[in-house]
Amino acid sequence: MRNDVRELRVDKGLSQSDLGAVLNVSRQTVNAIETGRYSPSLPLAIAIARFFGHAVEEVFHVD
Amino acid sequence: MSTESRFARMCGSTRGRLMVVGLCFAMAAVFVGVSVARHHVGDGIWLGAIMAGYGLLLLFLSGRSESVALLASHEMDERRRGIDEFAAATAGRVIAAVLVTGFVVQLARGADTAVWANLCAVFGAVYIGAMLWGRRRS
Repeated sequence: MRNDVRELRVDKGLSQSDLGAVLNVSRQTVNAIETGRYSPSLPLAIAIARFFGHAVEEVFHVD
Repeated sequence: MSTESRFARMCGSTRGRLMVVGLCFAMAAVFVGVSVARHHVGDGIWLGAIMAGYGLLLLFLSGRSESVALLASHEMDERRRGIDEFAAATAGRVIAAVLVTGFVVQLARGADTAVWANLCAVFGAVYIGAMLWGRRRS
């Protein structure tokens, strides 16, 4: 699933480790989400969207 | 950034990793104890050293390698839990195939099948039990 997590994270000046610490996931999991190799669960997707102040469908795009 | 969540994550990950490493050292001690009791001290030292070395590997490399982190249950999140469940399911399927093959081979040889049959029964009972438990939870 395509997403804008990398762009949003970079805009906030955060590293993957920083975002992982906020979301309670590993740096590798943040990387896997950003590259589209892993689709997060609904709770994690909501947590990511809320952290960036967006709705889930604004961050994650179903192709 | 949430300091509390980072603290909670560190506590959880440290506990999980230390439990796995502690299990490795406990297994090393058991290997040494059993081998010494059977008067095979050399074997015991080798087996104990291998197991303790594995534990130290998990302890010191789990922060550097995700594969080692998975083996050590270090910083488990939903993706890592998914990988762990996939690996466990794959290993379980292979074990099931090995058990059934072993049972059939022993049957074809006309040898005693009790051990294989019992292992197959335990595997099947655990699988059915886990499936029923999983159904109740979801």
